This record gives sequence, structure tokens and C-alpha cells, in this order.
Amino acid sequence: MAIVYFSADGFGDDVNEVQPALMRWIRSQNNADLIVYGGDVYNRGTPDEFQMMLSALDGNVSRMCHTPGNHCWKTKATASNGSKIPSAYEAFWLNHRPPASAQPIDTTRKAGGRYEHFIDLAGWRLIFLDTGPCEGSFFGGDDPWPMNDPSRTQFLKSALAAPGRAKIVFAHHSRLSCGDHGDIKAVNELWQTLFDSNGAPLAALTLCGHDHNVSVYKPRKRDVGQGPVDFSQGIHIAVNGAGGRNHDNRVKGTRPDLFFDNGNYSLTRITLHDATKATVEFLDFGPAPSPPEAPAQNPLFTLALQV
Amino acid sequence: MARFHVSQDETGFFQLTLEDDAGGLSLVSYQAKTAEQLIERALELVRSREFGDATIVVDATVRPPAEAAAPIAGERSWRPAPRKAGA
Repeated sequence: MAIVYFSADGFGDDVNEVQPALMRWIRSQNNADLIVYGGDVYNRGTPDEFQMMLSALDGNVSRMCHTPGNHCWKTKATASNGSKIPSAYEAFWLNHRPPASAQPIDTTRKAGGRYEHFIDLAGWRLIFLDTGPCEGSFFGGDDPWPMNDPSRTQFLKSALAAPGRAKIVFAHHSRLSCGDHGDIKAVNELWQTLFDSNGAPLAALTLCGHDHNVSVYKPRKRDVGQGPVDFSQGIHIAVNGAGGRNHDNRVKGTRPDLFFDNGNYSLTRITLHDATKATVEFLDFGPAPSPPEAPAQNPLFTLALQV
Repeated sequence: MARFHVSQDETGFFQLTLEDDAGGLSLVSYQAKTAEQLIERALELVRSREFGDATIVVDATVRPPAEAAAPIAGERSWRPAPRKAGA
């Protein structure tokens, strides 16, 4: 068995006092095999704002990895190999390379491919992708994932090639989402790569941030526009960006058909029971900008995965 | 024409509200510490063209700081009413 925590959209400047409380509670549990930060260090992902993140973590980044968000990419610079990188993000995690953290930086690769990796835990494969600059000019970024880099699609395909569907994909941007960002078409190629050539799903769940609420969808096929399907034919989509910056209501995007909450801050806890079973809990830290020290006894929502 | 309103509300935090063509108000985002982050969001929404030729109205008036904010009525009621900037 292994325990994985996921949170997003709460570190840096101009945020509420939520992330420090969530992270201290996680550390107090003494059971985290992995802590995933799903991106966005506000406002612009500067070195000072990464130091604010480190302070909020009480200096402890052990067993932590970080899929970059669009705000993490606002320090875009040119790497020595000519590719674009989020300079403060890369400098921070280079300074906290494994084993100090769980976030590798492969400087032989280009752009966001340097941060993409996977970790195998309790029979599950957890895959981490960088979608940070995918939305193009709105955020001063580049192109839809994989940003004109076929090696990134190849990396994802190889990560998915392991037998079975006991795989969870983590990124900042979700193919379906509900809030003031809404559905992200710029990750459509990523989504379609999660299915084989016959349209069979190769993973069980995608978990992202970006919109600042909790949205959980029934499984979707390769063509997400076809609506919900049985889990045997599709992949669950979940968003938990309720990590502390604010609360987002729905103005754009697909309305979640399993669960939606836009009034509470939340932390995701994934229990990987064995190679066939996982439980995904959206823990309830309430609506206040200074949350309680521990979540409410009952999660906002629980998703059971049986592969 | 739709309008996005950014203003500080009764909780002491900033909110973003959408006013539709008929004058109806919908709360978009709330409990933000600064107006700037919501202005950036409003700009993204306007640029998406999904709200026609929407405009942005900002009330820069600073009322009691966010740190002094409190729930509206009870511990679990932090959701403000949508409001127009300057109202």
C-alpha cells in the first residue's frame, strides 16, 4: 500500500493561508510516500515566490514533485540547448534534486520534457507531465502539448506501455474542467495518447489543477465529446485546484457529472491499496482562507478505482 | 454587452462577477487577496471571445483589509453575493 497526496494552485504570493496548513497536516500524518504539487507558484513563478513556497513547506521538499503550471512558466528563459524553460522552477528543483525531493530535472531533454517522469508505487505507475505553457499567447507561452516535441509523446507512450491500467496521469491542465478556464483543448493530444490505437484506455485517471475548485467526471473515451462511458471504455478525469488562491465558480467548461464543489479548499489523498485498487479522496478543509489544522472527518467526495 | 466586475466585497476579499446582457449577476471567483489576480483572469475571459465584446469594470476602493475578513453568517458561509464594481 502507498499514500500519495496531491494539491495545486496555492503556493507563492497573493494566496491565502491554505497550503501551509495542508502541507503541515500531510507531514503530521507521517504516511506520505509521495506529495505531488500540481502547479502554479503565484504570481509569476519568480525565485522570491519559490522561496515563499519553500517557507510554506517549512523547508521540507522530501518525497515531493511538482508538475509546472502556467504561472510557473512566467519566468520563461532560454536554456543552453536553445529550448525554452521556466527558469525559476528549474533553478529551484535543480537545487533540490533527488534524493532531496522526488522531482528530477533531465537537462539533456528540451523544454518541459526535462521535468516529465514517472514513479512506480504499490503496483501503480504515476506519470507526471508538464503542460504549463500549453495555452499559447494568453499566457505568453508556446503551443499545445507536446509543444512540437515528438519525443514527449514518445515518452508518454513508453510510460503507458507497461501492462494494465493501474496508471494515473498528473498535470496542471485538464482536458475537461469547469471554472473560469474550462475545458483545455491544448492538451487534447495528451489525452488521446492515453488510449491505444483501438481506443482502449491505458490509464485509470487524470488528476490536474488550474481551475480553483473540485470537479470529478465519469470516464471519458478518446473523443471526450462523446460523453460519459463505462470505466471499461474510458478514463476518469478529476480536477482539484482548490489549493488556496481563491474559489472559482463555473463560467466555462463541461459540467462535472460525478461531483463539483466550489466552496471549500481541498487536498486529494490517493490510497494505492494494491495493483488493482485505489481510493481517491477529496479531503475537506472548509471554505475559510485560514483553514483548520485537519480536514473534516468526511471527505467532500471519494472515487474508487478498480482496474 | 457583458461586463466583468472586480471589487472588494463584504468579506473583505476581492471577487469577480459577470454581469450578463440582461443585467443578471453571476459570481465567477471570490476570496482573492488582491484585485490584480482577478483583473488578469477577467482579461483572459474577455480575450477568449466567449462573452462577446465584454468589458471589465474595476472598483479600486480599498475597504478594511482582507486579514480582518470574517464569514458572512456562520463559520461555513464565506460565499459573498455577486456585486457590481462601485455598487
